Amino acid sequence: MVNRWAAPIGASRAGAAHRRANRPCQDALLCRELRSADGRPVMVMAVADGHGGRRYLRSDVGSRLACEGALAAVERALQERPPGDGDGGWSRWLERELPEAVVAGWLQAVEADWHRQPGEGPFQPLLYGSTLGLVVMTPLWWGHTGLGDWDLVRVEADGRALLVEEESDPAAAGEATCSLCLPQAAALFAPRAALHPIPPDDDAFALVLCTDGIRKSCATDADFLTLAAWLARSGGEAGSEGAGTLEAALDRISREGSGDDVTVAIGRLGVPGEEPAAAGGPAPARAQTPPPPRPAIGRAVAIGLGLAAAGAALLALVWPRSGPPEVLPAASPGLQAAREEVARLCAQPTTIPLALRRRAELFAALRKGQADPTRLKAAAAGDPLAALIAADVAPTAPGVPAQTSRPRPLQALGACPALLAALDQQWAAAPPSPPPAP
Amino acid sequence: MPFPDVKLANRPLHFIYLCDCSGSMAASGKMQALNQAIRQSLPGMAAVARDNPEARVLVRAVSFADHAAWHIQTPTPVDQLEWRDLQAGGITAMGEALQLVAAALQTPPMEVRALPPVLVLISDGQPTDDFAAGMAALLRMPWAQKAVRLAIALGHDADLEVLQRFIGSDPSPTAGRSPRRPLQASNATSLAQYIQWASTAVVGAASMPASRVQETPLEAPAGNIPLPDLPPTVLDPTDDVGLTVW
Repeated sequence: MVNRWAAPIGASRAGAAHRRANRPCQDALLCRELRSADGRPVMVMAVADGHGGRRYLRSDVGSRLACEGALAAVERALQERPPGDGDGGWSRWLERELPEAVVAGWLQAVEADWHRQPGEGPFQPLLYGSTLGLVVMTPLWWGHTGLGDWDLVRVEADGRALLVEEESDPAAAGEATCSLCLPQAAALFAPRAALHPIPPDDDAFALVLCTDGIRKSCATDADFLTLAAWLARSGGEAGSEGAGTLEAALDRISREGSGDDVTVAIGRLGVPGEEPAAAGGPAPARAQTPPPPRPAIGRAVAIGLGLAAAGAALLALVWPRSGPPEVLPAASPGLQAAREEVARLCAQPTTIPLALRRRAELFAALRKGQADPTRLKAAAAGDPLAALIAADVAPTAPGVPAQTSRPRPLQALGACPALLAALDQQWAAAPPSPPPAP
Repeated sequence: MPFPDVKLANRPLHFIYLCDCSGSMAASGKMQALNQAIRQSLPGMAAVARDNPEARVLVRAVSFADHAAWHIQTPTPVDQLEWRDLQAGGITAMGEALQLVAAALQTPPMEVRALPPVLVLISDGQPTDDFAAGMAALLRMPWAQKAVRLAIALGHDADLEVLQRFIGSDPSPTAGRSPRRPLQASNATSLAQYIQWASTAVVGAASMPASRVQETPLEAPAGNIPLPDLPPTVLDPTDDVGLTVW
């Protein structure tokens, strides 16, 4: 068995705002090549983000201990049994056993740190509060687990970038996030855990794991995916010297963006961009056109775009009119943005549920009549996804179940079945319309 | 490899005044004092914004009397803001003002990556419309739940209970920290100090990206942004400062 994973690389930098305030970097990073009991190489990368609030006085220590403890827990498990093919219980390990070991070890480690250097008041894990994102890469599978507001992106050899994992709990938004210091921390890993088998003929790809400072520095998620693709590519090109390149990039990202600490870890299966299919170098994720390598997806997009061209008349009925001319011109920026958004989503159907869950508030607002679909559609150029959701809102009467088969205006824009199904799911999850006023 | 063509951007910080413009605000120069206090606070607010380039401070204002209306509807960068005087006259449609702000806090138009907004409610009286409905509409908005909500009571006729409901209860009163109670301004000087504090110290605190633990029933919440201390001259917001004018 040949392990095609390159040794992971990464960098972690204090944010621009933290430097100005003379605060330490509260992020931590650890990348390491381990060996299983049968001698197979296993790559591990961990990032952690110590909370910035002033209650979390030692979160810089907490994040470092989180990464160290996570790697130690992985190493112990690998000594007990080799990561064979098939699941072999490793999914459960990522969801339950590893989190329990990581949290228990972290609590011991932070308490030991407190006793080595006691501070004012009693010991509290809260003082060390931190997130943790962890990726384990074996020859036969790769998996992720953790808690908090880290993001994980998969970058294909041709440069396409796909958001694999993000914190989607609506309660953990704004600056709030899940943390190792919470009493139920070990149970919070499961929704963020998944195991992905590696097919023997899988193309090269890279995994980009980062703390929230990077995504929050990007104006849009499309910018974030483009940046992740570039980080994977540039880090890979620089090889073992990549840290300097990455550090300079991270400094710029924080300086021109959120000001937060920024950390990235990159694992690579093969070398993205050097496969024959990717001759000419990777395309920027933002500028990509529907990609050919995935036949089913490519077909869906092609069919969709065909429908979009054929369905201009239907579209005119459902899309907002902004005064004369009566029919929105097919070349309007809003319509073009909406069409591109449909194509982008349908080119990466596994990202659709996440993208829509992030707009759960909008679904609820539309369902309750608290958001104006016409206004959202009119603003499609600025927020095409919101416009698409608004265009899909079902006209339901209070007390009447939603229609299971209804006209779907988005089909005229080329919406693929995955998009329509995900929209249905999100509508089903939205709270029901309020009852009519007496 | 050259850095990619991506748009990096600082994070918007929305600051919204909700100003009582009822007829009683015309008495004893309260309206004039409020206009002057806000206008005088703008240079300091702009300086704080410059010192925290990772946040893009955007100001709006709602006035409420017989009805609520946007006084400044477009989120305006603080260094471009020119304060037009508010005029007093009418009753106190505070609930309608809350509804107006609630609508503005939907996503979109609110950006997913925005910093928690700052809402400052200033009033000298009691709401004359359905405050509870307005408050409920506001608190349905996740951005309102995450917002830093401050209230300034002008004079002794202000409804402190209503203002406290706007702020929310003080979740974890801690020694040495500013309490989460309405700030009581009894004259133009203290009003100016509170407005200055809200527009500089609070904006500065809200501008810093500082993650925190997701609150659970097992953990006492600490508020969205740790509020900085009040100005030294008015450490206890319930104390009168100088001669009571209002």
